[in-house]
Amino acid sequence: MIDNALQSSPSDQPLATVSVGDFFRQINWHGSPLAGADGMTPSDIQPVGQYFDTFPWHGTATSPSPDDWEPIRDDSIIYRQEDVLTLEDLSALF
Amino acid sequence: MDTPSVLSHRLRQQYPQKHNHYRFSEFFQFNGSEGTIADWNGSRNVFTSEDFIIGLLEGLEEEVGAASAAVMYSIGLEWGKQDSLFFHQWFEREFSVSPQQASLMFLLETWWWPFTAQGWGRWEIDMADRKQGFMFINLFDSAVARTLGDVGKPVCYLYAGLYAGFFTEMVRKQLSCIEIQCYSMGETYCKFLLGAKDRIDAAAFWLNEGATAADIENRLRSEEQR
Amino acid sequence: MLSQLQPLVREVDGRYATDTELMFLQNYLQTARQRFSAYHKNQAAEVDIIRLVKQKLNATEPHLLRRGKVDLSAKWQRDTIRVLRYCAHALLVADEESLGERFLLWFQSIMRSFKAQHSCDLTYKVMQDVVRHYLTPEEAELFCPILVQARLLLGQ
Repeated sequence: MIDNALQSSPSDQPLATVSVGDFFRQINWHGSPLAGADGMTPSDIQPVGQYFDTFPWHGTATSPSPDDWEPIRDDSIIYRQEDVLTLEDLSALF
Repeated sequence: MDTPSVLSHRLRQQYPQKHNHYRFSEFFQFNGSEGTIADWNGSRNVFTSEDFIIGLLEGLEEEVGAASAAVMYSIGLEWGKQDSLFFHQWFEREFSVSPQQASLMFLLETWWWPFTAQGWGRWEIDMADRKQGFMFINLFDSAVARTLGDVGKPVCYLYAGLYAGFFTEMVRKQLSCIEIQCYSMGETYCKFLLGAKDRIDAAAFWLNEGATAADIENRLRSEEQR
Repeated sequence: MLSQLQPLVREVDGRYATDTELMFLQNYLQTARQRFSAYHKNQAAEVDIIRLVKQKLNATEPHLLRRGKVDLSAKWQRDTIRVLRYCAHALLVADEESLGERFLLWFQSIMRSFKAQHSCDLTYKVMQDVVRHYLTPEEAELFCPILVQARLLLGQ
């Protein structure tokens, strides 16, 4: 059920209780200019598209090559050190 | 009749090198069309509730009375033996190395993780006394003990048998195991002693005489010093 | 955060979610920019981060990564990179809670089996200082608690 109870304007409420509809209006989901939004200057609000543009989203020249990110091979983790016990060692003790 | 697809594990087929695979959603594969559950290592699994454990234990007690403890131990023994063979196979498949070549502690932790994933509890191995020919296993959240609650006597014979069976196969020596401390006796965790038969028989005797886990530990350690 | 999406789908089952039920998405979006940024910085600086941590460890405890004649640096490096990446993922999806269940609990048992607790304790303590060179204070505030969690579980 849509919660119709939350109707008050965004600027009156602490962020925690802003309705979802209002929240997305604040981040200007559809990228259209806001006309005199209560208490908010346009520079406070970024369209979502612009927001995500600030992320290195599309893997620019600075992103590492695939070779650098080879998954770590797990066969290293059974690695035996000199002083480490084996089954044979355990067997000898009984 | 089990067909290969019944025991296949899609995630493991996709990521065979993912050694970290013990969370519930990853370890178990639910094959809806066959109505089966397979685990990462290809074993068929069945989910039961505490009623199963109660039914098993009480049913046995009804049939054979006090011998139910010995029967549970024997079941555990056989289970441990079978599981060691199964384990040998999947460990080698997963790590491309035989159990004999692996680091012992890593090997043992890897053996027990599926049991933890299946709800049998977490454990801790205490090898401090291995040079004296015995070791302890601490078990947290025993499925049997927490099902039965505080009943004033040890109840984890199934686990004792399991450890005896498994370790006997792995070290190729006849080992026994006894629970010297149990959650069902009001303790916070269960403690098992693993060693050669005569050692365990001695501990069983002391236990019968009313010795505590601490008493047994002290006696075993002081015996070696003589 | 992502882990909360699944129960939500089950919960709503054919109705619209309430604002309260969607609150976690708001919370996530408020820190999403820092999370993405910190994630990318970790990825780009990983080699340097590891190198710096190793340098500091060698300066503090030169024998930490040696056991007798055996040099454990390569193994240390593989393990540390693995933990760093899992922590970075937890940061990205804001799912610190299931990091333990997903990875750290299992890895803790592996570390214990190799008696690497002290090494882990020091490594993830030092790492918190090192990452601050690469992250903004806000980003560090999101990431360092995850490293604290790693240190706590693996260092025990």
